Amino acid sequence: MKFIQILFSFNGRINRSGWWLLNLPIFTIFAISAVTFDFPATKLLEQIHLLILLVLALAHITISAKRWQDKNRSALWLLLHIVPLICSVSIIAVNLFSGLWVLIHFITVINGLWTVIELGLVKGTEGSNQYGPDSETSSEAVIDVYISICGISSIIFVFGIFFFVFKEGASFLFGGLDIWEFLTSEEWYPTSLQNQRYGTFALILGTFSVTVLAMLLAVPFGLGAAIYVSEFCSPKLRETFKIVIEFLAAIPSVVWGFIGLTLMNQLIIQVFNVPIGLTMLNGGIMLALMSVPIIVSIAEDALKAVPDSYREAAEAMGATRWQIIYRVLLPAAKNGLLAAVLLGAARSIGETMAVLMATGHSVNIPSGPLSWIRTLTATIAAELGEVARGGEHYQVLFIIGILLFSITFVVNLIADLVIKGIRQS
Amino acid sequence: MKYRRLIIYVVLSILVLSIYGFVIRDSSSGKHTGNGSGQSIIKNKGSDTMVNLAQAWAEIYSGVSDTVSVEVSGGGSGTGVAALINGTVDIANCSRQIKPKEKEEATKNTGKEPIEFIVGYDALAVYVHKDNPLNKITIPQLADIYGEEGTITRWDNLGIANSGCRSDKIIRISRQSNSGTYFYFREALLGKDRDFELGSLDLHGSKDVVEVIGRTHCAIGYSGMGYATDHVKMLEVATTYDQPYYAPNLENVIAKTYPIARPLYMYSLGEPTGEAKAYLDWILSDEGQKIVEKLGFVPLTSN
Repeated sequence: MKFIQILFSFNGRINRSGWWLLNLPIFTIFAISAVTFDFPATKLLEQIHLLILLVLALAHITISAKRWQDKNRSALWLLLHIVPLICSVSIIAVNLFSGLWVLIHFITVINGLWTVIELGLVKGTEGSNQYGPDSETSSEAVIDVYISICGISSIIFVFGIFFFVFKEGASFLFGGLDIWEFLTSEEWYPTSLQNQRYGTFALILGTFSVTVLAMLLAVPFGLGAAIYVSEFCSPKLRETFKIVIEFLAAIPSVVWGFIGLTLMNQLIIQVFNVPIGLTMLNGGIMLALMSVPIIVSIAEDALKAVPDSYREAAEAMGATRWQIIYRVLLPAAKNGLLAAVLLGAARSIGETMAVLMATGHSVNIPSGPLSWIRTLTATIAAELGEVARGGEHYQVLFIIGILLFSITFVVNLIADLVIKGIRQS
Repeated sequence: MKYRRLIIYVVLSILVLSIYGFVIRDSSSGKHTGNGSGQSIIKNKGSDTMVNLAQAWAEIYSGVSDTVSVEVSGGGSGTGVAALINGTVDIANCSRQIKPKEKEEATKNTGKEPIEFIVGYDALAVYVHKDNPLNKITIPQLADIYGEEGTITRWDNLGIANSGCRSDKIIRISRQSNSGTYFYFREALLGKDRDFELGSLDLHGSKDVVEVIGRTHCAIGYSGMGYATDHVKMLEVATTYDQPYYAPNLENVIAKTYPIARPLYMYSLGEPTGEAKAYLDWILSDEGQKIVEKLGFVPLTSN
């Protein structure tokens, strides 16, 4: 009720800070839309976009109306800036750029600036007026609405993204694609002229194997580093370490890919005596390097969150340092540590550029860490750019996107259940 | 108080910018359709192989004609054709021929048929490591290396001793399966009926192919001839074993004796008119073709 009252009702009053708080995001969205309006989009996207703009415009109008009422004036004052604005927009729409029209434009801009000053800067009447009680008491409600919009929008974004990925792939997913073959065949011939085959088994295995390898490398190092930083470091050294580790996280993935393609490639050739170093091992090392910072910082937070009284109690019992870590800290922090590992794994599964460059990008059933592989994400990245929009191959790439979504969803679900199980026991 | 003033400035600038945004957007699309005055814009998009070439053309053309500016972007042949189908570009660059289905869609969507222009040639060179003793190869041999159920898997099968490659296994370097380069090479080797054997390293760019081959004694691969470096060797190619071998160079491509050279295309929606026509004419002129040669591609005729 509060929601509709504040965003879409002409009744009541609103103060200056409330007007700014709600209008700033609206202005921003309008500004972005103005710049990106030409962006090629589907019909449906365009309609949704327009609908959102309309709703926002309505919200802007009702909020401004309440602001006029706050100054004890009728909401009809709104017409003062809406009428010229509509004139002006229609002038632009039909491309009239001369003489009188430019003058009208100019008037609109001045008018707009004046309205902003009037609505945004001038205080409302003190005490209650004919439209409602003093507006300074309404701040709380406005902030409430603002925060809940932020929360809801994240949910809308997630579902929106899922919806569009799903929509792009849906017609082929339900009409023509043999899902069993899609999941179990290793024949990935999306552009064959005679016989297109869309088997992703090798790609799924590639994603899993490189992720598992990366985790085998990253988890011991990551957790070890976290324990060291949180339990053994002097405070000064700890700050330095944390900065360095965060710096590691700031290296863009294409740089890791480049290191894999050149430096690590050469290194693997020399160390393992293989003809080419673009292998699962190469990709795994790159992914491990990328996920270690995430694991370290989250695991370190989890260990820090264990109350000092636990440590003191253990020490009082005569436990050694190792015993404290092994028997007290790790069990107490296990939820956070698990979250750290799973977030690291999610980073590895979702990573694209580095694995595209470092793993050889070859459709192969992996036979060991030195075989060349190809991952699901790299396939999408490599092929989406040149594919014909709307065709079967295009849709299959989106279905791979759905598959990745589902894999991440299942991983998160399992993590949730495991954590819940731990909590109950 | 200080902050409040700052916030006001920010908001005012956002407002003004958004108004400007609307004005700029509409006036630029006005120019695009020819209603406005001043510079007109030709939008040019497509093939990554051609993007450097297209950019060079656009840059030099801005000195030739000061009423036109050409906006170039890459993204791949497919992206260019998709934009053509949506009617959002004037000229699409394509390193493969447009497919009948795409042509049909473009005609259906925009009411105009895409018109094709060949603007130059790109010779695909077959690369090996510089220490590889192999100097020449035939198309059927390449087909047996790359094709499904091919019989050549070791350097030994080609009759050479590649001492740098200990395992003697040929490592096939290829491109991602929908790049224009991949399409062309597959058709040149195998025709339309066969596919490549899976398990090649499908790299993501012409440069990467040469880079990896330069580091790998066992590798063979294909890429544009302009990408050659000191670490790799280009092979001479013959159509069959009893035909003469030709090196990938300008003379052989222009004389059409080098067997794996492909045309580079530009597509316009309907017969080009006005500025777009002038631009395409200039590209096909001697001056435009000189730039083709400068960027490592092959012009339509020798000068």
